[in-house]
Amino acid sequence: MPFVSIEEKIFEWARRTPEKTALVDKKVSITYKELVDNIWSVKAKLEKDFFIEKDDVVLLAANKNVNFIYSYFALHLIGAKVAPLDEQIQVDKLDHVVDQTKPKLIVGLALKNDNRCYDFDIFKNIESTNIPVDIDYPKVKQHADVLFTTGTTGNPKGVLLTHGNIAASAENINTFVRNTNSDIELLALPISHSFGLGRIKCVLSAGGTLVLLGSIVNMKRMFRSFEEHKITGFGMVPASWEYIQKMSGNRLSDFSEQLNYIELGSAYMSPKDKKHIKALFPNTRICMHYGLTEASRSAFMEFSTDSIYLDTVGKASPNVEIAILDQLGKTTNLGNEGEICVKGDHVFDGYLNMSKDDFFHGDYFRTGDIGSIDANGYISLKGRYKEIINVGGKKLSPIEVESKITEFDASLETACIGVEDPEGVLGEVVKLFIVKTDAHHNFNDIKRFLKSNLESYKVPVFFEWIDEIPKTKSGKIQRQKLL
Amino acid sequence: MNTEEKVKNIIAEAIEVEVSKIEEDTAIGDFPKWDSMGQVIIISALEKEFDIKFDPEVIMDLEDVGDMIEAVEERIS
Repeated sequence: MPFVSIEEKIFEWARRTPEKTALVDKKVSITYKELVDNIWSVKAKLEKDFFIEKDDVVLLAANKNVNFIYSYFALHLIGAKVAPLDEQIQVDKLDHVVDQTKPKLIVGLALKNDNRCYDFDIFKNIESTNIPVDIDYPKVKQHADVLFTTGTTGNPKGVLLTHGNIAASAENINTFVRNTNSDIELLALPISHSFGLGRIKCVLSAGGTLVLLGSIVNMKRMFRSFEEHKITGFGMVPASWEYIQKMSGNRLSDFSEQLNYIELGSAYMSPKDKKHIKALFPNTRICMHYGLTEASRSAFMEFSTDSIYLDTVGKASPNVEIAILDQLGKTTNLGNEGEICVKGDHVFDGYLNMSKDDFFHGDYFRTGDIGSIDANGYISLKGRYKEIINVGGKKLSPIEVESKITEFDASLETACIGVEDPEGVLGEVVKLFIVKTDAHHNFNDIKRFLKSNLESYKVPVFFEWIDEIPKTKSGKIQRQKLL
Repeated sequence: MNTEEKVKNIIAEAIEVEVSKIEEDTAIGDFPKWDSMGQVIIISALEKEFDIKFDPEVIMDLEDVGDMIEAVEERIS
């Protein structure tokens, strides 16, 4: 497929449908013409006042407002790399990101005594600049984003995505979901992650309208938005669906007639829940993806057309190839388990400051997930080599919790895993195994210590004494055996 | 401790802020940790502490501290 950058598509929509609403942020509506005018003015400001040039890195707080969107695309047009970060990022993680990326500018995040930090207010009331006839749009191999994901060591890893990668992802997703310029999507997802950030690119590159909502936490406000803006599309993670159900029962299905699609994020959802949501939205395309930041939405399933495959993660997305490979990179026999590996233009360009070798078999990216594929191409997820725990959509590495416990008592030997949340709301919660010692500790002391030293979702819910932690010969914890 | 104080303490603990910062009109979203996960934690904690169960229609109306105090008081009286 010929490459056209997301930015070029947005500018093309501004030419074709200048008066159409592109964004709604609270009471403000922005047309496509205003969107590109603002992107261009922000670009001029970043170049003139902050000397941003091609290949610079800029950290942006992923604050869901129009100024984030203007600056994100403006930086791409300059040729700079954007690292969107959660506003609530822990200080030590932010230090690590700054150290890794050496940013020229930081917007919306505060670092002590750092003169690179500014507020989003710098983009308020700026001078408008005329858009030239010929624009030098981003090139296919040029780096666009550095997205930080939870690394298995606890430190976030920077995923490098090119303009070719993000354009290919948006194209693949829009083909599957069937996004068009008549869509009006409510964006309540966090945009520091690949899923939410991707929705911005999908909707705007298709010429649709994006309505920004802080989060789904206030259900009444969310339902008001559905009604007021006649929302036709929505994205959520399985934990959000659990939340919506707990907070409002099946109320969302009042909007089933107007919803053309719901995109669901990559996390476990039981076939029973999938059937339930399918029954509530009989005429809506319910598209659930399987993917990683490194290879966004590599597989998709649609709950109606794939109704007999609800226990799988679907088939490879349009223009994506998926293979099940063994440890040596050889294709396994049909139906056999191996590592799920992904190939396509959407697959990332490696991690920041790390060698690509360990993560690829030839052109295939090794996801770290274990699975199998059937004769019809449906992929079943069997487990994972990577051990990230997903608590209500927030991810953590077990090593982060285990290393924190050594600060409590260095002699304790522990291992963490993710287990199903018995309340059925958060998906997974943390369970901690501790090897029995003579030390007189009780679970409450350990829990209290962790509570005051870790974010609450990282604090284990379950504790268990264990005689020995299962390990490989080289000493790596075999977490699968603890499940 | 009366019901109002108990509710405020539960909320403060769930969203990890000092109880003195919890007013009757403190609402969802006012603190970073009062996100969807925070809301679920608060509601589960209230249900457990007072041995009550909220219906989804009621839960949707629990937008601030005052709503929560009122809903708990109605159920335990």
